[in-house]
Amino acid sequence: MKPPSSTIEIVDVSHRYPGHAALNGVSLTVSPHEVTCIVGPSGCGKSTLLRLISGLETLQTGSISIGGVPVAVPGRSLPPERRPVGLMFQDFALFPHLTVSGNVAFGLRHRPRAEREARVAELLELVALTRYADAYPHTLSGGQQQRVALARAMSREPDVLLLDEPFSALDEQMRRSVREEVVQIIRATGIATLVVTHDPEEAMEIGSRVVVMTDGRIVQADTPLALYHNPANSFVAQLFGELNRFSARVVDGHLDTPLGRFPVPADATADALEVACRVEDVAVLPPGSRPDGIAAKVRRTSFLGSTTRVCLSLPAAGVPEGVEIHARLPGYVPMRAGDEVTAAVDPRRLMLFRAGA
Amino acid sequence: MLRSKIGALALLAGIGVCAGAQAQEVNIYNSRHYNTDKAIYEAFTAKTGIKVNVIEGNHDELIQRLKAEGASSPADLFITVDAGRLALAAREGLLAPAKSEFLDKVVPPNLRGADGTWYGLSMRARVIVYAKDRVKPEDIKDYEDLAKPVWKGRVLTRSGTHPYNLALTASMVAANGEAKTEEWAKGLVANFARAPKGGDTDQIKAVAAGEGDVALSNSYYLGKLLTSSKPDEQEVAKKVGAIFPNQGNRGTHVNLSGAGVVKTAPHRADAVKLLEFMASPEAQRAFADSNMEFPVNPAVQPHPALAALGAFKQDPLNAASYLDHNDQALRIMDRAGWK
Amino acid sequence: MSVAGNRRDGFGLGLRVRRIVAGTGWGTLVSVGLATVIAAPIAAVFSQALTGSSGGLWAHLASTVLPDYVVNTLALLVLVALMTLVTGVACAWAVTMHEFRGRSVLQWALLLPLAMPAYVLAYTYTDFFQFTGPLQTALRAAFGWRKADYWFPEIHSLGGAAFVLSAVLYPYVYVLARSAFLEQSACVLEVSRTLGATPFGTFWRVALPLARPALAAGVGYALMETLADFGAVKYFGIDTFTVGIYRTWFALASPVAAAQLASLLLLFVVLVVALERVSRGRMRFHQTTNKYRALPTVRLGPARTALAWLVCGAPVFFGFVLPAAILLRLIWLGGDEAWDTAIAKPALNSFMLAASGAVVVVAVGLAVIHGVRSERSRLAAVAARVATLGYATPGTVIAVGILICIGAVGAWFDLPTGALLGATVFGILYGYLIRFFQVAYGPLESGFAKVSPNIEGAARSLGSGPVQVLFLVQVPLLRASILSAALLVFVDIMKELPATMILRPFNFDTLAVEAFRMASTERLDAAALPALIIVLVGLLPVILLSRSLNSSRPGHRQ
Repeated sequence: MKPPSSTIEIVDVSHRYPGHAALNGVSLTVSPHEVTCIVGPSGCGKSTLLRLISGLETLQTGSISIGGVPVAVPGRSLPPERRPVGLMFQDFALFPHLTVSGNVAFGLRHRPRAEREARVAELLELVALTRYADAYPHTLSGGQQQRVALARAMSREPDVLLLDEPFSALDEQMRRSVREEVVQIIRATGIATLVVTHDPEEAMEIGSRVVVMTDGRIVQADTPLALYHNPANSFVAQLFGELNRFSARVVDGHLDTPLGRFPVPADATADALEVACRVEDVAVLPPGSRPDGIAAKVRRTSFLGSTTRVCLSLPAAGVPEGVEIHARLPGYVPMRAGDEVTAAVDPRRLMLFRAGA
Repeated sequence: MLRSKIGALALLAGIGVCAGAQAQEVNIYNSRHYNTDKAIYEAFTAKTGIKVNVIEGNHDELIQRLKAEGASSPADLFITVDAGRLALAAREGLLAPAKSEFLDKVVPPNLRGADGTWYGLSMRARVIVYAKDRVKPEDIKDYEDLAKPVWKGRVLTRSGTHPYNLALTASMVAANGEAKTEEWAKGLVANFARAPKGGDTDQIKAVAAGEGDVALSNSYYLGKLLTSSKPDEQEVAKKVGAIFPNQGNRGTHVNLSGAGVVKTAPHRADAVKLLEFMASPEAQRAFADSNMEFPVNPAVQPHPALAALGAFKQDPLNAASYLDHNDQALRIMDRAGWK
Repeated sequence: MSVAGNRRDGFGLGLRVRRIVAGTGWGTLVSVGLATVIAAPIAAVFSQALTGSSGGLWAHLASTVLPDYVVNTLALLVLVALMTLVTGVACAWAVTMHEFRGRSVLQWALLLPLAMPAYVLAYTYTDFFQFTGPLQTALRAAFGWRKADYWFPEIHSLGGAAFVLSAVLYPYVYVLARSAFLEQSACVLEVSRTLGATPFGTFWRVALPLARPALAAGVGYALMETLADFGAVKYFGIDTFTVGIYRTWFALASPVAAAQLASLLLLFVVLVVALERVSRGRMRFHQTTNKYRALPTVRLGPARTALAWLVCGAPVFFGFVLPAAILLRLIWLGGDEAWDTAIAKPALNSFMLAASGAVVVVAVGLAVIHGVRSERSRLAAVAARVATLGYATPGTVIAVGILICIGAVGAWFDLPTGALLGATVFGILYGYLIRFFQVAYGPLESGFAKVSPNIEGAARSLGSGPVQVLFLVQVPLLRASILSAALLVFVDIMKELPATMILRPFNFDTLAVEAFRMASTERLDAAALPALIIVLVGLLPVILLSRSLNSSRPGHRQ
């Protein structure tokens, strides 16, 4: 298709809007053939970062370069039209006064006519919209509009592709299929791609690397698997799955938790720790079936189709009604409120955070 | 696209039309709006080949424009309808003496600036119009009489702040002093048949229709009604009579239309030529016949319809005094509530 | 890929030479620059107010006429606000939400009074309704009445002035109310019905509050025009602030006191605008849905059709039909004298001024708003706001402000500015720009508000510079808004008198000037013809405007 595209390098970028700081010392590198997802709650600065890379916002501190060429340093900034960047918006921002092919050809105005037409045809074929070339955007479905926006963003063969909440305007059912299509197309081109989303599941699905941001900082950047198993703090951990969380204290070199005693890991330093485990890592077994298990009582269950969610009550010192934990078990589990069970967690699956982190 | 092209063309055309400058021309800032004047300019151009360019506007605005343009002003001649404004323009240093023997000869001394900065061209008298069927002419002799209680609910005027009424009031301040004039204005306001409105013609028509019994009007509006070809206006003319007030004392208030050569005039010589033309019998005839004004040139008689009202004694006109008393007159209007 | 060889040409050039340009700041610069040029003459007038001394004039004004100015102006504003609001909203609601015979005619006929200058209405109504006018004369003749025998409403009164101004200004409220109703989501209105509201309750509690920003804007336009009006109120002898400014300046020859009065007036305008913004507070009026369906219109029976015609027909009658008929009557009765006035050249001049003025004002409006938007600059937004104040400023104040500015610039650079004013239409167009900037800026602003900022972002990142974005994206998208803005400015310029009068070059009469000239020499019959032609020339843009209004419902852009 095309030569490997360039790397985006973001070094120590901070940005203030009147009244609040949007970005606080953010550094990030996105390599070719890599789809990086930035995920975080709204207001975490992820969209600002995208606007800075594309040039729609003027850089204040730090630097941004693409393919080794600085596109923005404080005071000197390439305007958006001079940056090798393809941009796709949440609302698609298609030009309502132009046809589909007019939209795709918008960025190719300076190319010879024949070349332009060939390129438009090629892109429309890529996104499977050839037969809609002369349609106006408002006559298309959301998914089709999405693909027009993608084709348009790629029309100038940018070195990097930036997608801002690309799938949030679509409804649930369509989102899944469109997402797959779009990611396939992007991966095939090998363009360094940065996707901003607020949906962690989406981030895990499409990102070869996921960057978690909050309050204008990057909290963690890693593969989805690493983020899932080794989250940097409970915020990241919670983002990618439901947690049971307890505060725990170190007693005699052991960790006292409602789930039992565990050896303290070598790198734990603080006295007060937060212990967490994912709901799918809690095993629920018949009473007494595991020596390391803890006797528990079922409070309620909900059948969710592919899984069953079980709410258990664990005995705990000083808490007469017990501590509540949740487990998620595959398939249908025939349990009822009041059943006696044993709960167990593999110590390797326990996550420890400093309290308050 | 087409729309904007048309617009751009129109803009260019506008500049082109206006920029067609000629060597022989006179530029006038004029606060008279009469068609008669246009005819006089055309006659002048036909006779001399000198083109006449005109901007019309309110005299105060034109004075502002002259001041703002300063030395680069294209204006050659400033024409206005109020002696006070001529004196003001002269006092502000906007006018220069015309130095014309002809003008000094044909325009009487009390109708021009002493230094020749401005010359009167035509006159009008402020007359009292009355309803023939309800008013005996001998009952009203002076402007001062209009304030007497006998006229309660019978007097019609236009706005007090109109230059015609301001100049009249200024002349009364000059004659009677501020306190007496204010008393008079208050009496006049108390006698109004209705709030002041409309122009002088409207006052005359209202007298004829019975809205009031006496009214102040300029002589030429009366003259125009008297000579109108329209049946309804002829009807009005039949119902009203007019007197020249204050014949037993200082005389009837008159005001001037006049002109002065602008100090920075780029076409000074041609401007003087035009000014002389306007004082010549030919143009004076037009002022008298087409516009019913009294000519300043003694060689020309007023229109027969006005002459038929009789000869009258004029309040000796002192332009500077109008100017000086203008402020007092206006404040009197404010205090008396003559809106 | 076949085009890979020259793929860098698009954006690679700059990268190759490593030239990094400061890409922003231009738009703000242009906006602020233009806004400054627009605000300068008014500022010049103010600077006189602040630096000069008015002697004892203030004491005199305050003890005599100033209270009148304040009371009259406020009363006029309140009356005009009420009358335009009620008329505009009632008509807009009637023709938008109901289906009846003749509705499509009324839809555009309601705009006709836009073409009618307020001062023409003042002249014609006076001529027709005064004691000596045909109506009262006929009444007296028919019943043998004399003056003391009957009462007739006095048109030369505050109420009369408010009536005349409202009769020509209500279309501003009507236009904006109508497009606000058209843009409301049918769902919101239907939800209200399912919650138990009657159609009128829905109107009162949902549609009207939702339309509030539009109504405020419409009434705002009407009030600004009222404040700036000189011709009509002066003719009616109502001492408003504007009349006072004029009189203080010229008759009392005190530019300083006049400028101080003008400053007070503008301060008042700023205050009112700010109050409206504050009272709107945190309410938001965006549509929460973008699903549009045909609005649920109610089909009216014969009785209600007649009522609708009465409601919508009255404003058309008083704002257009009656004055036009009086003009025709004057021309008819005037005979030869009515034709004793130059028409062709003034008409051409008027048309040319209106057309070029519309282009200039709209172009500047576009440039300013583009700058405000493309950089989201506070400074530019504030500057634009200041520039719109000219709309409430009387034309004469603007004209003299321009003269002061041009004089100062000419003296500074030693330029022949007098010749520039005397020979070109530069001065007048400048005056129109100040006076009518808001007229263009308003529609453009609301047009822009409907375009997602991301559209501009997308165009930028697809290689278009700010100027290209303007011409390739914004102008095509805003065609309707640009057309409306241009038409409104066109009609306003056709009617404009005081600034045209004082700023025009030599031998340059317009229809408005010609009408004024004739009226001021008390020849109403000769003034009628140019006045009627002003109206006729203004009709075409007004009808075009109503067409563009009809197609403004969102979701129907193509």
